[in-house]
Amino acid sequence: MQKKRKKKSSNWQFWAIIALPVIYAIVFAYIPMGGIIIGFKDYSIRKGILGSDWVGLKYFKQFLTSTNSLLVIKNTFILGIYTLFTFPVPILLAIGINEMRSKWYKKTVQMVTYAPYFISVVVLVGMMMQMMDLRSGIINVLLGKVGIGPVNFFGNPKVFRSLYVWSGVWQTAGYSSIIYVAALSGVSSELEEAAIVDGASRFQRILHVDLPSIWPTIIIMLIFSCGNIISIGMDKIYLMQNSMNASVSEVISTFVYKVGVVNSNFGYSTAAGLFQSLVSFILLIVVNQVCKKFTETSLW
Amino acid sequence: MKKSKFRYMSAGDKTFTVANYVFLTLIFVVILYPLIYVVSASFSDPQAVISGEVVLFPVRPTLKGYKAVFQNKKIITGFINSFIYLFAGTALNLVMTMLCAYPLSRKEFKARGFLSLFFVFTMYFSGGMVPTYILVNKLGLLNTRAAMIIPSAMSTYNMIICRTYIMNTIPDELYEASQLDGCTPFRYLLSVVMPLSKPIMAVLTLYYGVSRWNDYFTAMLYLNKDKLQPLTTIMREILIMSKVDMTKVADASAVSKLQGMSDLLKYSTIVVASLPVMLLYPFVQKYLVKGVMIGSVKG
Amino acid sequence: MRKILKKVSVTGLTAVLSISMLAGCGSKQDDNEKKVELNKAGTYPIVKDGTINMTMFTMSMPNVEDFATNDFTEFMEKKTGIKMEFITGGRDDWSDKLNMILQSDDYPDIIFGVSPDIAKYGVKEGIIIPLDDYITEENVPNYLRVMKDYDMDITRETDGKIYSLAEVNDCYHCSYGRKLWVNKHHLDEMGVGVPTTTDEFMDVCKKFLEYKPDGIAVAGAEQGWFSRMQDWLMGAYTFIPSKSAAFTVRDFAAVNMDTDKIVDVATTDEYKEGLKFIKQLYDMGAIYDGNFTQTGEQMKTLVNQPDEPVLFFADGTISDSIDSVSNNELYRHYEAMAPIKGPDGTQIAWKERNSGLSSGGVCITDKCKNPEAALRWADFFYSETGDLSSQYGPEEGKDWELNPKGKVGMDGNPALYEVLNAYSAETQNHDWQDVGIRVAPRDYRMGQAMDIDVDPYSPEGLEKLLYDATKELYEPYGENTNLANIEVLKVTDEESTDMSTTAVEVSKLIDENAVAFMTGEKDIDSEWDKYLDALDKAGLPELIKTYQTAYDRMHSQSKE
Repeated sequence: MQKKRKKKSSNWQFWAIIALPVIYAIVFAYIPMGGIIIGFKDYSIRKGILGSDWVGLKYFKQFLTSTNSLLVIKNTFILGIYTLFTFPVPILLAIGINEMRSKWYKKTVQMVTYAPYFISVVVLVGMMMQMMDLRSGIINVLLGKVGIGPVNFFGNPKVFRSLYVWSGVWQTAGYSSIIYVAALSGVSSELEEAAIVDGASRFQRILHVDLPSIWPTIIIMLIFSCGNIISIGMDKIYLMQNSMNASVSEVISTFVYKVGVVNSNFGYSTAAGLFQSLVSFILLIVVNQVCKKFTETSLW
Repeated sequence: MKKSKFRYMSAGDKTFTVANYVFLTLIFVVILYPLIYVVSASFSDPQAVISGEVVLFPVRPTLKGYKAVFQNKKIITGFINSFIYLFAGTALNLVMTMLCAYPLSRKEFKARGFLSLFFVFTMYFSGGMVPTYILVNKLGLLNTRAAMIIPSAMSTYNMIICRTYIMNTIPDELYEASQLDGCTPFRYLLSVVMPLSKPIMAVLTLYYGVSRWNDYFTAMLYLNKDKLQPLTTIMREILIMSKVDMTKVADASAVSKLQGMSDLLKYSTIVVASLPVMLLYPFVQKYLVKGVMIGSVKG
Repeated sequence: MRKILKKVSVTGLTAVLSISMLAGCGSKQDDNEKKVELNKAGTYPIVKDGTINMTMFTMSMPNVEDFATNDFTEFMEKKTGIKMEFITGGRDDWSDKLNMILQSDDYPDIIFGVSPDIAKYGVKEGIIIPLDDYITEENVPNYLRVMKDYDMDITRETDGKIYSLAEVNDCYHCSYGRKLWVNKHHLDEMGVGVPTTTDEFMDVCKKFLEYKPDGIAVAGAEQGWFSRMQDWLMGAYTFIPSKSAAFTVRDFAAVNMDTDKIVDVATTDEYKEGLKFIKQLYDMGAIYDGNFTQTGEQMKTLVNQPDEPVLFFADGTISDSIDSVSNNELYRHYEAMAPIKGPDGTQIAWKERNSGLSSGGVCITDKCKNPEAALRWADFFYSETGDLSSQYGPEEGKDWELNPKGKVGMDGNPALYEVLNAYSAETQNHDWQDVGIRVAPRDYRMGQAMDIDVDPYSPEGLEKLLYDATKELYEPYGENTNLANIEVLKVTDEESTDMSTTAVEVSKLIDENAVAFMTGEKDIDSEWDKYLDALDKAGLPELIKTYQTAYDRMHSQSKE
């Protein structure tokens, strides 16, 4: 009897604690969400959102049936899935850092690896263009010394995808590893001591103590990454695009941006955005359910 | 635990340590080089930068780039504003994130599943810029510092990371033990969860802090008065300034004078804009320490 | 049960809240229209008693510290009796910001010096109001005087009404902006002259590659001011238009001035021949691979390399690629060259025909309670001293001087004015610099006092360098074609929505195929028809038809 009452009262306490964030989400996320309806209407400012004419799926059709739509969606997926394959890098980095003995070196490595995240994407792409310049770029100069002819990184479609994905790794690996480093710091040192006593080598320790301990973190991050496959942001790839790599570099966000820049067509861009959101969310639900089934961790 | 010396390690462990150091050093160098380049370029003669002479070290070092940056009177207000948004904003972020992640981490909370979905949904579906702008306007937040702080009070992504951390680092036994002592969820949050969450709060401080510091777009959208502009927006303006539209200005030679500055400014503005936040890390570092949980479960 | 109840009530509440919040976002008309009494036309101050407040949206620039306290702003306020409040957006972001503001029901009275989407906000929504009734001698005498030399119909929108005041910015060398610069120093060392025909051009490139095997004969960039070398080279075969006005994409649409018909140059045989010529150069090794992908900055790095590898480079001005202050020696090695003649005698210099005239300079919104007053305020900028005051400061004798004795302008005629307080890149608060509208017809720009004996290759002599190059090497060839850019084209909001995707896709197709043909990745002879088919499928005929409709509509309006 007492336990039940305790549980009931503690539930309202939880509600009280979470009230502020919930209000925040309603005000700043759910209320503006009503604006999604713009994707289905010929939005007129005069008539307001409710009064504007309903055009149904017109913009969706426009987005999905244009000559380039399949190519653009395909490019987005390919880049997204390729990026997904680099998912383990921050984890490996975090483990490596965690295993370091020298505090000083550890700190320096951490600081340096997370620094690229701060470099604005404009500067990053500018630097990349300079480093991979056909003639004077340091990368091609080094390749030349080994006898490999200059590689047109930005102009060769075959190379472009790797360039995009790995430069992304360069930019974010250190930053993403921070969460794993934090998780690793929470690994119970008793477990570790027990393992050492049992005679486990470092490698075995990582495999049997560290990894399982941070497994839930890994799963959650993986679920998020899967959900984000189709959300290739616009800024970086727009800066890297040109007519030679367009066949692989034109993604949903850049294409919609170009069309939208031409005239401020909110219906179109809202529809395209909604499409991306739907696909991402469905992917998220699927992956979440799978994880729920096979592991104990899931988003909800 | 005594630190074992290298020569006493097993062969397997030795190889591992060496391999680890090599692996990390490689990554370190690859990442480090472009950063060194940026710093070197910011101290170099612009002509050297432009002709590709700068490879690793500054060529014909000069402080011209930095002089140009600091000459702008708006820089100081920019710095001040950025710091205000950084501290106030990040503090708000930490509070909101904790208030949200903690209830969602407790299995006893019945609405946990529904609310998790409630929040995650907002990550993927959004009305877009226009409805949000209208909302901010109607709330009377336009052109106020609050517009920079409140609308971004919490990131669901970071909140989930926090939730995961709490769920997996703070054992259930602690909670049950506290229940027997008559501890309310609220007190548990304050006296147990918060102290043990230092590593994750460090991570959140970093994540939120960086995102706030680099945000120029929100300022551009919601702020009008230059007095309120953060550093990044002003930096962007300076960079844009040096790429003047040839057709608009009557005197072409004035324009070309500006262009000489453009490349110089590019690198010095990056350094000036990024350095403060990069320095945030060492402060946060000491919380990311192993062994936080020692002694918490025993007894 | 409680769970479900909770879920439903939360969702329901959310839905109700969202709809009610956003439903209130239809635009409201201000009911109390208090008309203020104005003074007689042409006199200042504009307002009879006291001051009135107005709000204005314009672009912000770092070299203007604060519009609110700026000297020029205060000058205008004292002069006109109108206190102006400013909402600004940065140079790259103003469009996003303006869109937000206009959608939000809280927008200013005047939109100044940026060109908003009038088809949408004016013709369609009525947020920007028609000005036909207000453009009178009473309100805008200076504007009418300036516009006497120009066609005011450029400001007529698709419904035939005028929604804005026009801006004029006639930059002479910009109107022949597509230029090629040649390294005369290298030519002299090789003992050859500047090529004048396509055959000579090929010869010179061949000789150059023998003379300097790791050199770059032709450099260009994808992004930059007139830095696409392929556009310049094609001048020997056909006219390559600039981005078309309606959608600002490179769809190669141009108007045939004789027939008034819109054509697409990228489908013509002449264009095909031009591509073949460039392919020949490419096969020879004269075209640098990076030309098709690099930015102007990368081209600049190329040109500035210590071994001086570049022979020809395309650029609107030499100063974009070489800094005259820090690298004057290299700067002097290059000079501009005239367009080359093609096999059938074609020799075209690209030209802009509308003298920098553009619409959308000043717009008034329906929130403005006193449009006449607003227009009279704007009219000052079109006065004899208006542009000078806004750019350099309002103080005669200190910032500028009219009719300075003994000075001449760029074209050799007596100078109309001399600038004393020059353009500044540093933050200042005395004037508006290059923000706002520009009222700078050809004579006015030419009328700026110049040191006509200045060394063109000195940093100060850039204007003269460009002027001479334009006058001697490009102007003579500006009339060698009956094709022209489509400088102004007004499309309705609906046409815009329908054709926006097509415009982007067509331009992508043209661009990607052009590069493929030039580099030989696609064989131009065997794949040309496939290319034309692809353009058809992408909707090029509909696009051209839309342009034609809009064009005819514009012209029937001006015949009124």
